Amino acid sequence: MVQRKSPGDAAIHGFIIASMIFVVVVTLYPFYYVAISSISDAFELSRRRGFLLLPQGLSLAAYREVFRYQLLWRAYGNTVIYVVGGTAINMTLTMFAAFALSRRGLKGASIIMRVMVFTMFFRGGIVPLYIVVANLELVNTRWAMMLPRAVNVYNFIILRTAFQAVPTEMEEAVTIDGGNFWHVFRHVVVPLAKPSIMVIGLFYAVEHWNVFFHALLFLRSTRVYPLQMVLRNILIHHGGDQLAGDDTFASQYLAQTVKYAVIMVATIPIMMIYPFIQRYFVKGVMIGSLKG
Amino acid sequence: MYVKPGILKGNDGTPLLLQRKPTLRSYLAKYWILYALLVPVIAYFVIFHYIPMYGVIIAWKRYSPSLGIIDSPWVGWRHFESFFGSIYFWRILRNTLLINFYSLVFGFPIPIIFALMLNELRNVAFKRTVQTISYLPHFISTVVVVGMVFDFLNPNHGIITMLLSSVFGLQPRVWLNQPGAFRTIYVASEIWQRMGWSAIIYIAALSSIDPELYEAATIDGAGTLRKMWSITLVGILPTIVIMFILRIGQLLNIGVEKVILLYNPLTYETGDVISSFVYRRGFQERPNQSFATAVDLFNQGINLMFLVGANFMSRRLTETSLW
Repeated sequence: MVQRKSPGDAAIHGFIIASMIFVVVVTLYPFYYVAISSISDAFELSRRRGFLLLPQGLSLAAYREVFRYQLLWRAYGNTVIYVVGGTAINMTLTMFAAFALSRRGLKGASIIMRVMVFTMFFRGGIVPLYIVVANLELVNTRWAMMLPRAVNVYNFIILRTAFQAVPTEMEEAVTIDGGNFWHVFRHVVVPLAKPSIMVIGLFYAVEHWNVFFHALLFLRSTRVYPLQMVLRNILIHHGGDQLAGDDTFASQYLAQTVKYAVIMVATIPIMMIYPFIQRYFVKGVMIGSLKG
Repeated sequence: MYVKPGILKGNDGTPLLLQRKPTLRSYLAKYWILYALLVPVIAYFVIFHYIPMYGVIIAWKRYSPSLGIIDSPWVGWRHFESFFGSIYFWRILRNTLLINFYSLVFGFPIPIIFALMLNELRNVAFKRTVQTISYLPHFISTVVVVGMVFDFLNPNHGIITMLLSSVFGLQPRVWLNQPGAFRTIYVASEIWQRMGWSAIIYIAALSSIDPELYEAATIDGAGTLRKMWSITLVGILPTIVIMFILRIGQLLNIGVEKVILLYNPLTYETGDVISSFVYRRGFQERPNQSFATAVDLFNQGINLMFLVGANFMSRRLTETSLW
């Protein structure tokens, strides 16, 4: 059945398509602009500012500066530690909680649930949290970046819902064979709920990659700074000027392209894995929206 | 399964199973593993959530780190009184409310409109591409987004500064030092970063609308706009209501990260919000941690009231609620 569109409908569709193209351009152009500026020649770029479509001259000088900048690489290493270690802690605790509280017949489960959910609505606030972290002598240690946010209750609820959806027959099959809850966890629930576990793991990992405030709050020394903290010093507190080396005429220009290169270095990992993981994120939001 | 002792009979009267009441010992033999798994979880919540909740008592004390929470002297409501009496009270309350209000007015409908428009695209590949691109910015860190904002608003070479001066004739200036521009910058960059991501929940809701409704409407001669309005929008209305309640519940809540990256003393007047004020008073200029805690506590209380109130209203009006 072919339907002819009315002129009004055709106009609306045209408008919608134009709007969508506008959205794509507005979303992507900033990244594109940063990318082409980062490989531009600093002096050429300074003469021709504005909306660029192509790099102005070609130069990797900015990247050379960035690669020489040890503080940035140490911070990169720290962030990797926080992402891997932090996510491991997150997942261990969140999966334990989600599994235990998704089993039937556990006495006290509803109280523990309430204790957890309550923290979504009321928090002690940053000062009392800081006092706890300080009393545990975690200030300025890597633990401060990994422990205080070990369980995200929202993620826990998503995972619990997924664990509850695992058919009980499979659990019974394990217990009849003499297996205990640990076997059920290892051999039934975890393998079957793998997609949801992946989603939650990715949520946590991105959070660790991006978080900045906790570093500001808990860390004092550049030794343990994560990437975002160093980025902030370069991009926002104008540390890029020092980064471009001596106070020469050329480095004045270079300081600009160095900033673009730093942004690139910090976002490329996310950009690279994004196409592969984005569908998991969407799935995660969908699971959450069903029973959130 | 808990089964009463004695002989249970099925519907037809024959004995089902003979089972004794499970003892604590047999219960624990089975369930101890689950409790063991919960031990670190409960420890985490106690240490990093409930002890800080107890720690809020320093809002009524003159806390000094050397004395500790318990031994610091009580001062009653002094911190609350000095906060309510200070010029900062109205300033940060107004800023928090206004930034959230603008975010609500502009930031709330845009993802819905985006989802509705996306839903009209017939080319699946194009649709998926637009959607995927739209939530990319959500995964970029706040620091990088604010870093880009700084560059694009640079008075000498920023592309947005140039756009504003060439298209709207606005003189190039240090926009980030302009109190009048702060909220616009905050809200606009927020929309840029979150539009696509916020739309996902509506897109999910859209997929559950019965396609037959569209066919029926087409046969009745309804045009595209009519269908978008009467079927699509109505179909996702419950989701919109829920999201709206959640948003209202957050009206006095602004994340501290972006504000403290964007603002500076020149823009405190319009940009300083409750959370950034708490951070500054707690950790930066002349730290007074008890005072900061009192302000934070006030914020939490108001937030809770907003959430409960919005939920109550919604249950009354639409029979849709969070709990």
